[in-house]
Amino acid sequence: MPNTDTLINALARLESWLETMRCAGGYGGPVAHWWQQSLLYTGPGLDWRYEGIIIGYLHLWERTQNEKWLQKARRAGDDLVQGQLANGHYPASNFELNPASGGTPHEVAADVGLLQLALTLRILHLAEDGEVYARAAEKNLQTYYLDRLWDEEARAFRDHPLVPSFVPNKAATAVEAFMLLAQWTQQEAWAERYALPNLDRILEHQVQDAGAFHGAIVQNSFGSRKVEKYFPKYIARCVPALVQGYEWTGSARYADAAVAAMSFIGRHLREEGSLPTVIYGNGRMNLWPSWIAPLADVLRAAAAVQPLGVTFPMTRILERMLSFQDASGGIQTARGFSAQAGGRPALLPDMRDVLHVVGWNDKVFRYLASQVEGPLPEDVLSGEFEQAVVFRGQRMTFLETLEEVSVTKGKRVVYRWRKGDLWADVAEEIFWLR
Amino acid sequence: MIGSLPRYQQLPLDYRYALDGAMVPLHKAERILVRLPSTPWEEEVTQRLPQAQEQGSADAGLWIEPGTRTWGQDLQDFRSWLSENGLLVVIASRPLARMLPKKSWESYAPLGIQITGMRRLRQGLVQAGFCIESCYGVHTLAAILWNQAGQWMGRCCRPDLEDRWQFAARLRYHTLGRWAFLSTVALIFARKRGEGCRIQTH
Repeated sequence: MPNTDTLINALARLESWLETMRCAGGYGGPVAHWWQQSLLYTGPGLDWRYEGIIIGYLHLWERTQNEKWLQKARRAGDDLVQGQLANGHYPASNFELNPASGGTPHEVAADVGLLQLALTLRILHLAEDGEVYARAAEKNLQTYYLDRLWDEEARAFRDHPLVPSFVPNKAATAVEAFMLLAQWTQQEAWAERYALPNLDRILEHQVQDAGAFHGAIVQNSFGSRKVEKYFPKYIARCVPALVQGYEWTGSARYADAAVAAMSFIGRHLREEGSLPTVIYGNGRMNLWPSWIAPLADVLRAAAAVQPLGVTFPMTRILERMLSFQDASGGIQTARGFSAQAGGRPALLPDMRDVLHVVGWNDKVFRYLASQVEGPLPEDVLSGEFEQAVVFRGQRMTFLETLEEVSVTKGKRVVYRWRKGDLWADVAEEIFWLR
Repeated sequence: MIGSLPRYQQLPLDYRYALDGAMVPLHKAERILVRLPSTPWEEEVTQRLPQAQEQGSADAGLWIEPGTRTWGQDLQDFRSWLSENGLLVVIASRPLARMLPKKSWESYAPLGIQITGMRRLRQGLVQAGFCIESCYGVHTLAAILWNQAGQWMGRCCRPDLEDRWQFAARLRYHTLGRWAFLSTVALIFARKRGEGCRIQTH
């Protein structure tokens, strides 16, 4: 396991890089993801990046009592409060589908951050300050989750207002939000009426049969039809909510489900600390892109089940993750995007592999901040990072500085995002990829 | 405000893809003359381009779904108000869009979906003093076929291939050149010039 100094230094460098990604309105930057990319829209995304950023700063404040971390948590909360639309949505909350609002689980993940912040401020006898953040979260939960996504017949949250659908990992984030709302309002009904039924629905999506898929949670369902795809990273996002369900009710079935889910993930953990991206019901897998920064959610899940007496081998994942922290301070996204549609990854990483994405790094930030004690070193600066890459079969050079992210082919700039800009400044057509 | 349109009210991907491709050169313009059908395009455009205007001199233009009855007058407006060398971006449904299950043009009559619509539009642009720099096809027939094949593989118990082939479809989502017409959406970049424009061959 990396020692404390290693973790503290990694955290300091990551925090320094996060600061370079701030712009008017929040944290910005391009996004690379399994489902799509957002390489052209690069403005602030009021999405799930705020879950990890806010809670990461709260962890830092709790562990160091350094006021500046609390101020940064509040600054992030202010982004959400000031950006919130009249209809309760957060603008550009769709991560890889940006620019659009109504992102799932993104908006409810932002609500998790806001409610955690509100509760912390209440503990500090700053309840009035906390009220501002809680109100924003409540408004989003009411106008989106309760008014549009709650399916009374299914007793669960849909993924789309008009489509009978259920996505366990997204519902799990909503469970966490409603549990926090119950704490904030001191009204158990939020947990009893909304969180627990969603947990039960997640259990219905978990494989109970003994065998290779025991403990796995399907990615989603439409009506009664389950889509038998199993994403370890998304299964991990269900685990903390299941543990919270156990803590709320004392019912062992939630704890058993959390442990079974982690066991399924553990059975697929590879020697070098990677996980398959998706395992299909027919037993086949897609290994690419092989996540790096996004696996911080697996580490958080592993930490969540530790109190249940389950030890998950986190060291390999953590060491691999930290090995891909480069001079910028950011953690790279993946390896193998070039093989997502088939074949083997190119010898050089794909441009999307090395891209540092705020909405993935927030999860690393949150996890590392939960693991360290003591102050971070001061005056740690984000450095320049340059790497030969491929993108869509073409060899290029990726460069990130304090001011911009650029990709060149020979002397020609083929992609450039000036940090702070809403859109890429230069993007040849191959970067239109969604 | 950027990102204000809820995802459950967004335009289909092919139109948003074209619009985002247009944003890279357009977002830097200070004044953008816009012509578009009011629904469902207005919010997608205004959230991206707060500097959009309906009349007056402009540095650039965005023309969405030239209408069968209105395209002549709209073209004259762009010709009159766009500055010299001003960029004009045109996004238009093509005939192939008729085969899509969800059609965005229920409330207007787009020129582009007519068999000769795009040819007439391009000729009109040139006659009005625009040079067509590039004409992309977005949501190509190749992408459609890869997607359909992937869905078929999913039904045949190969969800792994379904995913891979859908990603393969994305890699073929737009094209330039002679096969651009086999797509659902045209994305045209044209520039207002003086004399000496040439019709591009693609």
